[in-house]
Order: sequence, then C-alpha cells, then structure tokens
Amino acid sequence: MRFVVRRLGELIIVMVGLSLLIFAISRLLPGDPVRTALGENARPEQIAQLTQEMGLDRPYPVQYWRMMVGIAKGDFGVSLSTFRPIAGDLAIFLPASIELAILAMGVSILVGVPLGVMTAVRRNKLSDSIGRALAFAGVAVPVFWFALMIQQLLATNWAGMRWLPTVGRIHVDRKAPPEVTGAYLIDSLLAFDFSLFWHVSGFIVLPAVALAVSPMAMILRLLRASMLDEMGKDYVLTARANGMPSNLITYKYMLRNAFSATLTIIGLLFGYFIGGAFIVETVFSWPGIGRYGVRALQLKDFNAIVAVTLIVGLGYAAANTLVTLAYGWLDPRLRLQRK
Amino acid sequence: MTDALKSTSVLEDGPVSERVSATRVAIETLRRSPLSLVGLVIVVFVILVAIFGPWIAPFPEDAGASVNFAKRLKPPSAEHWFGTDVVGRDVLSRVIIGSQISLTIALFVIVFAVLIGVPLGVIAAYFGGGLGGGIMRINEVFLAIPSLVFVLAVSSLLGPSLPVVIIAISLAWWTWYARLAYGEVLSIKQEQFVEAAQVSGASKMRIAFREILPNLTSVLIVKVTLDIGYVILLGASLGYLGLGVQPPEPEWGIMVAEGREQLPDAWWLTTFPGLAVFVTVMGFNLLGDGLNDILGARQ
Amino acid sequence: MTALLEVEGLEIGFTDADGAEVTLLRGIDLALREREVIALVGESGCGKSITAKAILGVLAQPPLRIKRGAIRFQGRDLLKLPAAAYHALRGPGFTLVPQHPLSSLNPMFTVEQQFFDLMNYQGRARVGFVDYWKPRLSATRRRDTRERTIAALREVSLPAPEEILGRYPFQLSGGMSQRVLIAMALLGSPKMVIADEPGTALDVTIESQINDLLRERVEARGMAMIYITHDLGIASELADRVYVMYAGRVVEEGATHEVFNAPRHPYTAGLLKAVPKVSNEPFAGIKGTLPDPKAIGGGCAFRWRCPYATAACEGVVPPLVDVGDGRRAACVRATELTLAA
Repeated sequence: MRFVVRRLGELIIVMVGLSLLIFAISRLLPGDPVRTALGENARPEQIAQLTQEMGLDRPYPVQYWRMMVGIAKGDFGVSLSTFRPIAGDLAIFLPASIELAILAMGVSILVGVPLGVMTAVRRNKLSDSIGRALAFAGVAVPVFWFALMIQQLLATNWAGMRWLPTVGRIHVDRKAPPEVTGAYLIDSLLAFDFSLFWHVSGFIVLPAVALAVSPMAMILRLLRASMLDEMGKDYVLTARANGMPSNLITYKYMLRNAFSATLTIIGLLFGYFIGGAFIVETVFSWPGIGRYGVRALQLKDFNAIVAVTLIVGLGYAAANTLVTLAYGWLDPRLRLQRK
Repeated sequence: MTDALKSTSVLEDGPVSERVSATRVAIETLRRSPLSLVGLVIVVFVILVAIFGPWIAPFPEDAGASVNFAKRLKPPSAEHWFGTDVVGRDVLSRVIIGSQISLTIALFVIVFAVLIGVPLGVIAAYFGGGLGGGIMRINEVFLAIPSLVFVLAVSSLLGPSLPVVIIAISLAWWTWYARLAYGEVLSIKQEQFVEAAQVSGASKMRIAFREILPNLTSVLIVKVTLDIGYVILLGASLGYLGLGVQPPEPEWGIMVAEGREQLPDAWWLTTFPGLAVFVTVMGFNLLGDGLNDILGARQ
Repeated sequence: MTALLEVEGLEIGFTDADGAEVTLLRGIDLALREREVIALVGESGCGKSITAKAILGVLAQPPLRIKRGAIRFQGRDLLKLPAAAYHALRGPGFTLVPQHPLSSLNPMFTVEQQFFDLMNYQGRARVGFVDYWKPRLSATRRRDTRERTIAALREVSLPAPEEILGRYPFQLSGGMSQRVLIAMALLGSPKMVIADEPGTALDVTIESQINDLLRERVEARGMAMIYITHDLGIASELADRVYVMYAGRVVEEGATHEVFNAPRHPYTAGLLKAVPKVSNEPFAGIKGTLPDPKAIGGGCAFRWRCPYATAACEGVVPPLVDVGDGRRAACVRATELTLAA
C-alpha cells in the first residue's frame, strides 16, 4: 500500500514535469495559433478578442497556472479547430481507443504467448526458424503499411463479397448500444443485442490485428527466450525426474516463471499501443484519441495537443503502475521479501 | 617408469582444449545462423544503395518535384521496375533516393542520442546523489509518453521538416541511452577494477570514461543496430502522417501516404515503399540479433 | 537377488561446434540390486551426473546423444521404452534427490501446491484438462492430499509440517528444502532413488543430517539407492558397493570397505591418499586435471596423471577386469600393483 502511494507521488511529479515540457514547446511554436485558427482574413479586432478570450495574452506563468487549474477541474480548454470543449471530445473518443487497445493487447498476448511457448518447447529446426522469422517480421513491419495492406486485402470485394468493413467503428445507419462502459463490444453484450455485437466486432477486428502485430512479435520473442532459459533450470529437471507430467511443467511451472520478463515488456508495450493507435486509428478512421490527436497535430490545435499528450502520458503511467502491481502478484518473492 | 610416458604426453594435465578467438566466434555465429548473415547482407546493400543512390537510380530527377503526366500511374514494367506515381515519377528511383533520407535521419538521431544520452547516464550513475537523481527524473519525464506521441507533438509544434524530425526523435531517443548507460554503470560501479582505479588515484571523471565506457560498448553496439531500424520506422510513420519530412521529398512514409489514394488500383505506389521500410528494418534487426549473439558469446 | 538396475556399455556423447564427436561416457557398466546402496564416486566432470540423468531419462537429448548401451530396470531396457511407459516409471520406479535444494523447487508455488501436483498427477506424461481439475475441485481429495503431505513431511523429520505447507521455497533454509525434496522423492514409493550429491550445497553438519535421514529412510522402506558423491568419506559410510569413475568410465568397483582398504586402481589410491587426515602430513593430491575428452584416444584416460603409467597404457583402453572377490578394476597393471590406501 505504501508502495502504491509512493508511485502515485512519483506519477504526479512526472505529470507536472511533462505538462511543463509540453506547455513550453507549445508556446514556443512560431506563428500565432489564433490567427491560424481564424484564417487569413480575420480582422485584428477578432484576433484580439479571441486571444483575450483564450487567455493567450497573459504572461506565460499565468497561462500555465490557468491551464493546470483547469485540468485539475477537468477542463482542458477549448479546441482551436472545433471550438468545442476538449474535455467533451475526450470523453467521446477515449473509450473507443481504450477498447481498441485492450482488444489489441488481448490478441497479441493470446497469440504471442502460446506461439512463444510452442516454439521454445518444440526443439526442431522448423518451428525454431518459423518462430524467429515471425518475431523479426512482426517487429520490422511498418504499422501504417501493414494496416493499409490488410485493409485492402481483407476488405475489398473478393469473389463478390465484402469480407470486413474498412473504416469506422459502426455503420452510419446503426445505432450504438446504450452506453455503460463506452466499449461497443461490451455494451452490446450487456444489452443482449447479439446482432449488434457481431456487427461491431467486424469493425474492430482489422484495427486490432494491425495494432497487435508488432507487440505480438515482441512477446513471442521474449517469451521464447525466457522459456528457453527456464528449460535449463534445476526445478524443471527435478520435477521431470520425479514424474511430474511434462505439459504441467511447461504450461504451469515454467510459464509462470518465464512470464515475469514478458510482463515488463507488456508495460512498455502499452506505450506502443498508444502510439501505434495514432496510426492505426488514422488508417481505419477509428474514432479514438489517436485520430483526434493526429488531427490536432496536423491543425496545430495546441490546446488539444496538450490535452491529448497529458491524457496519453497519464494512461501510460497508469498502465505501467498496473504492470508493477501485477509483478508483485505474480512473483511471491517480491511480495513477501523485505528489500 | 614415468619417464617413458612423459616423452609422449603433451602436458601433465593432459591436452587442454584450444582457446577461441573473437573472429572465429563471429564467423561461427554467422555460419550457424543464416538469418544474421541475411541481415548483414541487407544492411550492407541498403547502405550502398543510399550512398550511391543518385548514380544508380534510373531517373534521379524524379526524386524531386518533376512532373511527367504522360507517364503517370504506369504499372511496373521493364522501364519502370516499380511503376510510376500519380505525377509520372519513377517509383524505383524515388525509393532508392528515399533510402538516403531514412538512413540520414537514423544516423543523426543515433549520433545525437548516444552523444547526449550515454554521457548523461554515465555521469548520473557514477556521481549519483542530487545530480544523478535530477538527471534521471528528467529522463522519466521524457519517458512518460510513448515515443511516437512525443515525437509527433514536437514535430508538429515546431513545423515538420527533416531537421525537425531529427531533433524531435533525438529528444525522445536520448532517454533510452541514458537509461541503458545508467543501468550498466551502476552494475559495473562496484566491480573491482573500478575500485582499483580509484585506489590508484585516478580522477572520478577519468574512471567514468576510461574504465567504464568500454564495457558499455558491446551493449551499445547491439542497441544502436536495432535502434537504426526503429528510428527508420518512426521516421516513416511520421512521414505517413504528414508530420515528418515533407513532399516532394521521396521519403518512404510520404510515398505510402500519397499512394494510399490510388489504392487498390495502383498498388505499386504503396507496396514498394512499404516493402523498402520493412526489408531495411528487418535487416537491421537480424544483424543486431546476430551481433548480440556474437558479443554475448565472447563474454 | 536379481539386479534391479543394470547399465551395460552406456556411451553418451555430443557433436561439438566444429563437428567433432565428443564422448563423455565411454562405456559404463553398473549393477544395482534391490535394497542395495551403491556409491558413484569421482571428480567433477567424470560423468557421474550424466549417468544419473541417463538412467532417469532426463538427459538433454539433443544436444547429448546416447550412442550405445542398455539401461535395464527390472529387466526392461529403458532406452527402448516409449516415452509414456518411461514416464510411468518415474515415481513408483525411481526418483531423484537433487544437488541444489534451493533451486530445485519452483519458487512461485508453495510447498503444498507442489506436493499436490506431484501426488495427484505423478507418472503421467500428460495431464488433460479434466484430469487436472477433478482432484482440485474435490474437497475430499484436497483434504486427503493435505494429510498425506503432512505425513510425508513428518517422515523426513520436518518440524511443524502444517506451517511449511504454506511456505514458498525461498522461505525455507537449505536443509529444510532438501528434506522437502527427499519427501518428494519418496512420494511414489519408488524402488530406487538416485541421490545426486544431495549434501554438497549444504553446511557439513546439515549434510550429515541429510545423509543420515536418507540412509534411514531408504533402509526403512526397503529401497535401493545410487548415491553420487565426490566425498569418499560419505561413500564409505553409506554405500555397500562403490563404483569409482574417471573420465567417463568406471575404473574400479567392489564392496566399499574392500575397495577403500585395498584399492586396485591407481586413481582410487590417489583419491584415498588425497583425503585429508588429521596428522602433520602435507596434503597429497593428484597432479593435473581431467583430460579433454577429445584427446583421450585409445589409451587409459588416467595415463598422464598416473604414477605407475607405462607405454602399455597408451595403446588400449583398459577393460574392467576381475581382480577377485567380486571386484573389478580397469588397469592393465591391476594384478601386479600393490597400492597403499
């Protein structure tokens, strides 16, 4: 418990530092964002008025303070491109990204872990080469390209049929399920609307797969290496010599030990999921924070940029904290030994 | 009795196995792992293409803003191996010249990241205390957001261009090297040879750089090789989103983005630049892995 | 009494990075009768552990390969058994007491959990989903297993077994871990247990406690034991017969007290002389180290270090010859030499 509090404290310090960093960079940009937002034909009075409204005429420390106070209250300011409160936009787009990220993470673990174990346990040359090739390819493939490729290959008309939808989260003509979690997959199940569930799963499949490729490859690689390390260990030998079934040794005992290293990677991978989401969401027009963020960046909407950056940073840090906690649960030595 | 035997025996111990040299290990590893060899070949190939790009590209002028509407959107043929794009430029030439851009970015970024990150990490670990803590806190701030997001933000806010891309990625990347150096130095710090140097009166700075640095080298070499691949990926992603190198530069990411509008008909516009990224990054990864085996086996 | 275990001409080797054949075990012959305790004695690297692993069937193949030989357990050649049948023998047939107690138990699971798994699934090569959950979901089974575990822990003289159940291996001392491992080895009531230097990693006092425990349990249960050690003193205390190994071969075998009182092989004699005695004599050792397995060639592996070597030792690998009283030694000069202990 003390550990959690300490981590939270560190988190706050890092967030503050991050907000300073982003604020500084955003205020350093050349050109006037208000002028850009209002367009070339804006009259000076309009510019002056908007500048004053947005508080951009105040000294920098005051601006920073106002921004932080606002954030603490949940107000991220107003977008310079849509002129809507950013907090509102975030509330709409965040659940979509979280849903996608979690599904992608699930896919990468569910595919990466068994493949990693299998390529480690089967000692023949073929599975070894396949495993390594998959691992390397998965990490090297550019996400934007892969996303495009599967979008084309799996969604075009093949033999006269559309296999999977290419853009968006749900068809324009269909209604989203009543909001409980914000995740369409869960909400449609909760509403017992199975046809809707089937429908939205089609939309999420391709983006999730595209997002999962690289992490899956990393998980496969790391788990394989960890399992190979475990194989030489004494407890494996003893258990086997005393008659423990081999699949039990592999999937219960060895995997548990091997998983620790993979867990660290999963923490780092959250960072990849968030960053990769920016690209995947753009390619598939998935209405999430990533696509919102990219638009904000392309339009130089720096209120939105700051907001997205902070949310992303917070999410990443939260995910890493979860991973650290999971570590403790997984490995009893960390839980019970006093450092 | 024993004399009769001594003349025939090699040593009293019995023959001892020979020691292996580093080159031998390298050749062995490459021989046993064809993947690493493939990686090496790819990397050398790409580097050569980048260096000699303008001379080997069949239509080097197409790397810029030239326009030739008569030849637009032609599929791959004998004249244009990779086809032509929407304004008639030869895709092969653009891919070849594009390699220069990607490798340039990677080179500069790695150099900056190493030159900034490694010394900072070493200093932070060796001197410890407030200075060390401060450096690592700053490090954590930079690491708090995923690299892509950070680089996107910096690049867009400063106005995307080649130098900005390099600066942005370097700002994100030094952190990993600082962290790596920090960790390595911390573990080496206690080693005896460092203590010996301290006892013999060498200054702290000198110890930090002369004794500890060489031990970082093998870890660094592997990481640098792998990182070149990742930086290329990052640069291409930026290009794809329009927040990296700007058109009409033949950067691979931009080419994929521009080609997107022509899908699925002019498939060659997205396929070849994307493949270029894939193969290049794969090559560096394979090589890096091979180096890992070689350098690891030596210890 | 018929032999429980017979190892005949076992040869094990591997191909090294240059493609050369390296033979680690160059023809081992062993025989173990029921209720007998034999000691496998030799320096590190002589092949004792490999022999044990080969018998248990846990040798890493690849990269190692069993090139020739037979391992007959209760008359059946283990090397020809299908995997499932081999696995079925682990537990009721033979088990292992390992060398490093602190790393031989999985650190992530409690003692109770590991005993549960061993008790309920021992001997099966694979356990299916249903078979896995059946005993876990049955309250009677769980209680029953728990009681049997406590009994097993008590048998190895562990104090407060109920507490130990919930502990993780890193919370146990070396001696306690070793007792737990012995309890595990006894679980299936095996006919034979192989103890691979079980005390080496422990303090000397603990080591002797463990050895006493082993000897007592093995005798009480009517088991046979192969005790692997480099310590001649322990061998002489525990074993009825001793096999002295050097560079992958047995160089001498026989009843323990006979071999140690009047060795017939120069290596055995050297080992005995090297045992420190409470006196003012300087330490005696055997000069040199084990030879590189690739370079032994066609002669006696000991010839470089042997004070009695002649040119004859070069040409032929000395076979184990009968030297009377049921003893054998692998030395061309075995019959003519008189060696002091």
